Amino acid sequence: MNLGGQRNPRWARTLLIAYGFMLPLLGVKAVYTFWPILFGTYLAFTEYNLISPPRWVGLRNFEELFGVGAFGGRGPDRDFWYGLINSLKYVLVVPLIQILSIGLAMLVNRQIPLIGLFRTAYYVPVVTSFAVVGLMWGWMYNAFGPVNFILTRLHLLNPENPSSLLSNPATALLAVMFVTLWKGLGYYMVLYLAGLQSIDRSLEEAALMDGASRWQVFRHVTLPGLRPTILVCSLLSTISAIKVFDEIFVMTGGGPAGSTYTAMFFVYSAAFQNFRYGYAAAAGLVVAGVSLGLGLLNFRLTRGGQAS
Amino acid sequence: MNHRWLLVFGLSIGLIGVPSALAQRTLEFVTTNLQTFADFFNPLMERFQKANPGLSLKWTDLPQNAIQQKILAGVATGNPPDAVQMNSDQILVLAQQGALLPLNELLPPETFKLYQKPSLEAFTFEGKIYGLPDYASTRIVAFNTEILRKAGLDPSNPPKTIPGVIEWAKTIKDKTGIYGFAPLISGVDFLKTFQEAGLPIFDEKRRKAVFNSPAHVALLQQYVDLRKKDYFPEDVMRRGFTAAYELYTAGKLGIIIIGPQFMPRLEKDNNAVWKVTTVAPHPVGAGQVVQASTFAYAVPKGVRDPKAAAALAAWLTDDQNQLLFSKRTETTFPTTVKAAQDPYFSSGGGDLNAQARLAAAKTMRLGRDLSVSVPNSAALNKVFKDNLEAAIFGQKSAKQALDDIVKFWNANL
Repeated sequence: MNLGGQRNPRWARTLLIAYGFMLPLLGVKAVYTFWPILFGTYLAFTEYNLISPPRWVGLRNFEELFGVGAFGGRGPDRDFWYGLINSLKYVLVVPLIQILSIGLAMLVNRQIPLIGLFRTAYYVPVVTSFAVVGLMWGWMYNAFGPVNFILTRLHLLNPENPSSLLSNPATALLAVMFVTLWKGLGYYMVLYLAGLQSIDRSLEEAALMDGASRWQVFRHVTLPGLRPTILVCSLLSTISAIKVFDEIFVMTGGGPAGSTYTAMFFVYSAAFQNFRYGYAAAAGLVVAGVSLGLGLLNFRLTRGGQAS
Repeated sequence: MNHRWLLVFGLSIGLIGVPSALAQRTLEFVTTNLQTFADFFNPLMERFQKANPGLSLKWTDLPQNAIQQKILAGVATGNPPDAVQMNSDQILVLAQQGALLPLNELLPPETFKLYQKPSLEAFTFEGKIYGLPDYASTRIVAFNTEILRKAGLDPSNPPKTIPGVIEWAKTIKDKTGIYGFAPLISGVDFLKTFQEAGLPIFDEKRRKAVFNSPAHVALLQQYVDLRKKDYFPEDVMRRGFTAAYELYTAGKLGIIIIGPQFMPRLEKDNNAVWKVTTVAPHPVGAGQVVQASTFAYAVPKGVRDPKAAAALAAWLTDDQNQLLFSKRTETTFPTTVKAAQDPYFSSGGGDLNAQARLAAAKTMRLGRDLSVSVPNSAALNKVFKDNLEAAIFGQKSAKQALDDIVKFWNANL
């Protein structure tokens, strides 16, 4: 569209119609997304417990989190940073979930009988609520549950005292991470499936005809074609990993011995158990900053999602 | 705008206002997890309305974990319920936040004389009373007699001390492979274990935490050793009583420490286990106290008429209503001096549920709500929980764990 066209009354009408369509959703977004972001950011600089009006405290909440300024003598808030480290450990799920879901997408990206059934089956965990998933995996991880049965058979656990993976501080975080992986796999599989189907088949066929091996086709044709999808998926899963809460809340409550305590669990506790909404908002803002940083890193690693 | 329009406008506003002026005033009260007692609360509301023409009651029941948010949201929006039933932990946390009104500023002093002193003390914070006790429930010990027999133990002669219960639990595990017991020590419950054993939490002035003495360490070490030898299921550290109850209901636990109110539930959940269950009073340790969970009605800040709300809380918890409620539940106890003396609570012995009430009644005089109120409770409780779990799962020594907790508590009390 040229600039001259923008002054055209027809163009103005089109613009009006476009905004007319967007306005209801933008209104909903404004109320439920943009306003909470703005209000949450404001709260981060206040002291607020819902009962009294927010009181402006400047950078005090951040000083407490980082252990500087007025809180220099106390050091950084141990719980928050411990939680953030656990959240960063959680990001290890990201590469694994990407690799597995690309593999899964390639498996279901073929026209064979009952393929729809497989695609649906892999997607079912995505639409199952975390309350149900948490309960189910709680049973799976029970000391005498199926997971321990397999681990004892493989001589990875002592059959005399088969401790539940969720009750062991050394394994609890890994056990919850596995559930996140299991639940999220189907979601990213569907995105990668769409990505795979958007790649021009003739490119792969041409590469094969030129004598490329299957691996070379995947490495030099499929994977570069998937780069925009990889960016989206890794960005989404990184943000989800940093924000992880539901799994922890349902399955471990942050324990045992704080081993699954994450940054968002800290935010939840500060707000809804300690009623320090301002402090919780400040912690949330720091987590958002970390998410943003990791998002930028994703952009760098996937070269801005540009398909080559 | 001319005068005629002003008149029309004024009349319209007036007419809109009339129905609300004619309408009955409604007071709302909220209970915790009592939705199955509609047959008690509906007649109660009718009685209130008959005695108070022009006033009506609205009853809402909420799950325990939703109550605090409901009150805070109500206070923030200027529309809180008038009287809210909560446990002592919840009331003290909200009182610290300034979300509740002190009742001794709203009710005459003689009102408080109706209640048993220890019950009232559980809701007192910095000299102000924030809750009127409604009902209490103490713990009993239930035994699966089939499992006891398999372990060669005599169900008619149950242990009378906690060390005795632990010895039985070890025998059960050694002889049957089934867990003997599941101690209630998750979260901050170990603070109650200390108090029941006669070990103090604070110094006399209540300024310093002192629960890292050799006696405290020895008590924790006992549970560390029990866990190390797999004498109790690790699941109870994560899921507390829920895990214990599930195991007992499935017939996979020999002994459970439980509230008598769970006996009717056990009867429905697994009748076969209920039939082979026998009960005994909770052993009394050196502390000469037994944990008694107590619920009370509190009045949130921002209610329209604080005095009417406090009067409602007092009415809901008066002698008559407490007596009727505890008779309806069959397994809880009133907290008013007069109602608690009713012969009903020292009678029974028919079916298991009545035996459970009788067993609880035997220690009820020693019942205290042993919840520990501290400022900044979420942070302090987290440190307690994390360190206790670290000790139980062998990441820290019992002494190190208690030293670390006490150090943190004393720096933050």
